[in-house]
Formats: sequence, C-alpha cells, structure tokens
Amino acid sequence: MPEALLISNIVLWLVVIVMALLVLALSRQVGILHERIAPAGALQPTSGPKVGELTSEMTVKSLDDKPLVIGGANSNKLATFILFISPTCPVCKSLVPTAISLVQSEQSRMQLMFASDGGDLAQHTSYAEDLQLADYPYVLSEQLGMSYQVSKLPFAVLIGADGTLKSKGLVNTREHMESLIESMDSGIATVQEYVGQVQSEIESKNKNQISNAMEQNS
Amino acid sequence: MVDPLIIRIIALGFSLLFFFAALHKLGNREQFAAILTAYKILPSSILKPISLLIPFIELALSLSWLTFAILQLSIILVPIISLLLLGAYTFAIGINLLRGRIYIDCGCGFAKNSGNDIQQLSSGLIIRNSFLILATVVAAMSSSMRELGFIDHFALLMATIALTFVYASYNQIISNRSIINTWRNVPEKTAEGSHA
Repeated sequence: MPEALLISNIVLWLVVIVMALLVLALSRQVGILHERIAPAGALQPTSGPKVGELTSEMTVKSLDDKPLVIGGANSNKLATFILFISPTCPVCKSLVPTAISLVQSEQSRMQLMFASDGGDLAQHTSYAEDLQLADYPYVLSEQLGMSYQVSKLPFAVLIGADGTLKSKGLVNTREHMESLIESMDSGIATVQEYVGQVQSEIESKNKNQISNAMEQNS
Repeated sequence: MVDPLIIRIIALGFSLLFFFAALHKLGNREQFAAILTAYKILPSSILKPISLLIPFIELALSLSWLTFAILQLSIILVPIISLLLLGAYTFAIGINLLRGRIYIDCGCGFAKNSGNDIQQLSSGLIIRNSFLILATVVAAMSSSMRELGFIDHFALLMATIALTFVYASYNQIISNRSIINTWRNVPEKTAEGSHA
C-alpha cells in the first residue's frame, strides 16, 4: 500500500509539472498572438468627401418622420456616428448591436444614427423593430448615401462635433468601427499609419529614458 | 506550527526568485537605474548607490534562503528582510499606480514577449507581491520538528519546479493583460487611467 501511494504521488507531481508547463506555454502563445496580429482598420474608400473636410449640412427625415440635420456644426456638441445598413445586408444585422454597445461606451461625446437608402418603408420599419432601434434615429435617404459615396454595406461615417468628417470606411467588425473613433481621437487617418508611428515612438522613448537616467546619474 | 516541508518549499522558491532578480538587475545596471528614476520615489542623490545596492541585497537573500532550505535553519532575519524588500517594491508600485503612471516598466525582468521588453505596472503585480509577502510571513513562523524523508525531498523539488512555472505564467498573463488594456473600451481602462 505505501508503495502504491508513493508511485501515485510521483505520477501526480509529474502531471502537475506538465500542466504548469502547458499553462506557461499557452500564456506565452497568447502573448505572441497579440504581437503578431497587428490591428486592422476600416477600409477607407478614396472617393467621396475627404477626411478633415467640413461636411455640408443636410436635412433628412427619420423613419418616424422627424426632420434631422446631419453634417455641419452640431448643436448639441456631439460627434455623429452614422452606420449605413440595409435589410438585405446580412453582416449589418450582426453589426448593429456591436455599434450600439460601442457608441454607448462613448455616450458622452457621440451619438449613433442608422441610415439606409430608400425602398419599401414597411420593410425598413419592421427591420428597425426587429433590431430594437427605437432609441436611435433611423434615416431613410438616398441622397445621404450618395453624398458620402456609400457603395458597399455596412459602411460607417464619423462626423465630429465641429462638422468636419473625422473618418469613414467599410466596417465589418467592432475593431473596424473602433478604428474610426481612434482615427478621430488621434487625427491619424488610418490604423496602418498609426501602428508605424507608435512603433517608432516607443523606440525613441526607450532610448530617451535610458539616456536621461544616465545623464542624471553621472 | 508549520510543516517544515512547506517552509523549505518557500525557502527554495525565494532563493531562485531573488537569484534571478539579482542576475537580471546586475546584467542591466543602467536600465535598472533608469527604472528606479522612473518610479520617482527616491531622491536623485541616493539613486545610484541604491540601484547598485539592491542587486547585492537580493543576491545575499538568495544565498541565505538557500542555506535556509538546505540546512533547515530558521533564521528569522531572512524572511523579515525579504518582507521589507518586497514591501518596498509593492509600495513603490502602489504609489505609481495611484499616480496613474502605469506606463513605466516595473523592472520585474519577466516580460519577454513585448518587443520593447517592458512589463507595465498593474494591480496584478500588487496581488502577486501580496502572495510573496504572505509566503515570507509563513516562512517566519516556527516549524514543527519532523524528519524529512525521500518523498519530502522529492516533493520539495517537484513543488519548486511547478511553482516556478506558475510564477512565470502569472507574469506572462499580467503582461498579456497590459497589452490587451491598450485596446479601446476595456472596462478597466478608465479605472486604471491608462488612456493618457
């Protein structure tokens, strides 16, 4: 009996060590994954109004027939995040809750708006009900889509509180939508440009920190 | 009364921990001085002697813990000095977390994944150090008299290896988390004020 206990003890220890090693390897892999996957931003079309340009004020009607002003300096000092969707676009449906949660976390400075082109009004009404969009303006306007040159859906446009176009692009994931807000905050047009800048900044910061400390110590 | 095996596991673990910490600091003396400066706690006049002294204190602690583990001596001074040193580190990290200076390197020497070799400060480090401090307290308690046999020495070795892996994994997870926190809209972002 004591022999059996001894053997089982040894086996158990070996298992514990293998498990601990696996945990370490897994966490290393997660860390490496974060490094390797560089962030991807929204695909920005070259056509249409340019980022940084002042948008023209446009009066449109929402689904519940209320007039809405899009573009131009906004009266309530909020940026406007417009997501172009359509009942016929399958990705849009899954992206709507993501857009809502994203803009909710930025509630203090941003309002969310949905937009779609014309078509059957009843279809849009039931679509908006389906996705529980009652709290958000849902705009039906072909003119709006044309002026921002929306050719593919889902497409997002971010207009700053000062009325300038902050960013725009084809969005398929939360990361893409976040890249639009990030672009507004940083003033850098695309994520790819941002990644390059950050890398060179970190390198120079590290060099500075070490050389500063060396100067202080000497 | 604590079982002598527990105390010896702790002692061997600390011996390794302080040994590698000292090794890392001695290998990067200038970087360590820069890190101490970044903590902004010590006056600049004593920074240099302190940055040279700390690795040697750690080396001495490592050797003392090793004799502690091998000879089963219970020298109360070793856990107390370790506790003070770990307490000082934890205090320095805590102060800088409160100041919101989380972007500085903790100087732990375990962050190997980020290309720039920096492990940022986080509450995870405070939790980790609290466990280490708890271990020094356990090691300072009086141990029961029990003859250690083969199986105890085997368990001592295995437990030390397993704890080393667990410690390394924990550090890895902390540094992974600080990378994830740089993403937008992580709930902790506002709590820790990482958005400078």
